[in-house]
Amino acid sequence: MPITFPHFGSLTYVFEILLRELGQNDLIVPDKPSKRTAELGTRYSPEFVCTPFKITLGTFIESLERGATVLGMGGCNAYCRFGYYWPVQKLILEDLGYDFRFIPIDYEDPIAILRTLKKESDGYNYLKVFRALQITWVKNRFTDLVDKLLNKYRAIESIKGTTDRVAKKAFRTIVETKGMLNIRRLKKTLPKMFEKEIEIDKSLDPLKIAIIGEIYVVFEPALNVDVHRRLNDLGVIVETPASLRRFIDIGYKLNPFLKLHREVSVKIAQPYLEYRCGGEAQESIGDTIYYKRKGWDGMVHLYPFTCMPEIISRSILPQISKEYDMPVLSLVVDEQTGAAGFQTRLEAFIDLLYRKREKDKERKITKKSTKQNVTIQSVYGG
Amino acid sequence: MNFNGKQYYLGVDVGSISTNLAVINEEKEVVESVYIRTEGKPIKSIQRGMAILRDKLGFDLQITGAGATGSARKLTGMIIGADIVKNEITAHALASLEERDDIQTVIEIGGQDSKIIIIRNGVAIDFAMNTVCAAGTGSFLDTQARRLKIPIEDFGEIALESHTPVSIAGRCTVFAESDMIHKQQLGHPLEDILNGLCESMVRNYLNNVAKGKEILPPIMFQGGVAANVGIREAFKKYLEQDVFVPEHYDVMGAIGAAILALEEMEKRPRNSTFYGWNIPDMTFKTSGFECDGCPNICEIVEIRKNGELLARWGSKCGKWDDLSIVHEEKPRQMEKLIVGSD
Repeated sequence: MPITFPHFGSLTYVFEILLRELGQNDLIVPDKPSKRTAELGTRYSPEFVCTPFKITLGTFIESLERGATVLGMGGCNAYCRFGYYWPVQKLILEDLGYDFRFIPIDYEDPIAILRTLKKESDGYNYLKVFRALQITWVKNRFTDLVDKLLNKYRAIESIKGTTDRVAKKAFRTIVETKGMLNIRRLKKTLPKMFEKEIEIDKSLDPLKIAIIGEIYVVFEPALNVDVHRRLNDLGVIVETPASLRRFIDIGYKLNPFLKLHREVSVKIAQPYLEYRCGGEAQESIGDTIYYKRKGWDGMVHLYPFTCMPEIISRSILPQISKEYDMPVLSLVVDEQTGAAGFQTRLEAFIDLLYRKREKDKERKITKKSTKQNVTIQSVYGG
Repeated sequence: MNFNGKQYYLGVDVGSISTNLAVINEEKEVVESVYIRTEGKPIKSIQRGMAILRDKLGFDLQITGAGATGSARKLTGMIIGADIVKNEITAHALASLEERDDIQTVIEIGGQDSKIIIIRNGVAIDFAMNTVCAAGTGSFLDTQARRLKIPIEDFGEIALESHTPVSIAGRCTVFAESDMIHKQQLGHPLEDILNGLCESMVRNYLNNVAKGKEILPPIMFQGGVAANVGIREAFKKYLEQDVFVPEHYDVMGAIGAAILALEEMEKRPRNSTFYGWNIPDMTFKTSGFECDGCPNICEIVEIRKNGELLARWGSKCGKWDDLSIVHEEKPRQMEKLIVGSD
């Protein structure tokens, strides 16, 4: 019974790890969504459904064509339409005449995750399933780490293409490493691997931009027209605070000394958006303030066309941008997104940030010099 | 004309509807400008524009730096050999600041896009472009004018004769058109309908592109649509403020590109890569093919100057960006069939 799951950027590796740890080796790893995937998904989806629905449906159809019979998908009593993804997709795929079984995983509830995974494992007991999940969440920490390193080094590499190659190798290492001790050791070896193998241009003074927004759009380069790479090519260091770990990293949740980034940003967002309304609405708002405090230059906010929670955060973000003097560029993404318009906006945004930074520096210098003048005068002018 | 001792910079802005060229001197004053229609053939229109500029200025004028902007900036940069290729938002902001340095809001309505740039203390701090809809842009007015068989140049003048504008749905071009036809059939006079169109376009702009933006005076209105007095008056009415239209409103993008070239050459002095005034005599050829390496089926475009491969783009993976790879045209399916049939 070949199992498949949606393509989800670098999280595809995480899903693969989870299933392999559960003893399911009969996998169909989905292909990267292409033009055909989007076309298939759009053809069979309701017109105004969010874009991730269309892309994941397209991916499922392609995997079913390749012989998959079991489909795994997150699904829960969510705060937005995401909760309806799998029931609707199930109906659509049944109408199309495919023979398959759906495994919805209620990711909001750790106990439910364990229960579902036990049922799908190769006859494992709870302890073994927990062990598998633990390996997955620890490895997920490292895929997040590699993503972070990739988006940093690619902006400052001297030879184009090295970082991509190293990152690919790093992801493969994460998937293949066995044994908890070896896995924990990756924390040190992975950054070293990037440091050693990539030559960086030290003369650069790159801008730093965080990419926030709906998690699928932020993670899936095929849908967001590879905005990370585009920004890296423009010489900008990028970081994505969104992560799947907020659901599966029970280690962080149980440890009173560690805090997931999401908890921090949600707390910051409280005065603006008190309630969770699905998607990454609260996180988007909190992160904007968080990264401003960290001294970053700007934010790019991505959300799929007709995404309800992100529309809420989009209408709050201009206010925050004004209050904290933090430029935010909101971009709508859907399967028809034209790369040219995207590029124009990104380039203009980068230009704006560079000019703003220069101006801010000038202002600081003039402030300093006026201060100095005052002190000099007070000493000599008396 | 005597050009000795002075330096000149060329800016080219190729948009969906118009191609603009401008030459400025080192004081950033406009020496000469050209505004022509792109008509869907960017390369031809650049060559035509260059030829007009050459006739006006002569062969002897030395260009110290050239810049390209507009939606076809990448192609334009290749064809003129630009020293700098930049997006149109930056170019427009720079040109507006050059025109008036206390400007706080720039409204730009072009052929297929409309944008707003918010400037504070001489720095662009925010911008927006129309996203999912092209209603309220130049091409919409163009289509309607053609449908009503009035020259686009007279559009604004006729609209101004009206005193009671008809309200027309401005949300969507298709709805606007059917609404307009409906109003026509009811017997409303032409000038009222045109005035209503102007107002609905402005309303649409303010509700879409400029939504949530703080519009402070002085306000500058530029782009091809700024020629339309009807739209200008409608903006004044809805913003309740004076709207200022610069002298070279239609070529502001090209002026911005020229200023960018000037700044670039001052920052990093070098010899310009500009191909020179014989660009109109060169032959540029573009050809396309579909890459069948993966299911993305990218459409690759090749640009050739006098037969020599200049650039190639369009691939998602970047495989074809390497010019040393030669693309061999596979025999077409059709030809195969013909060969197979005998």
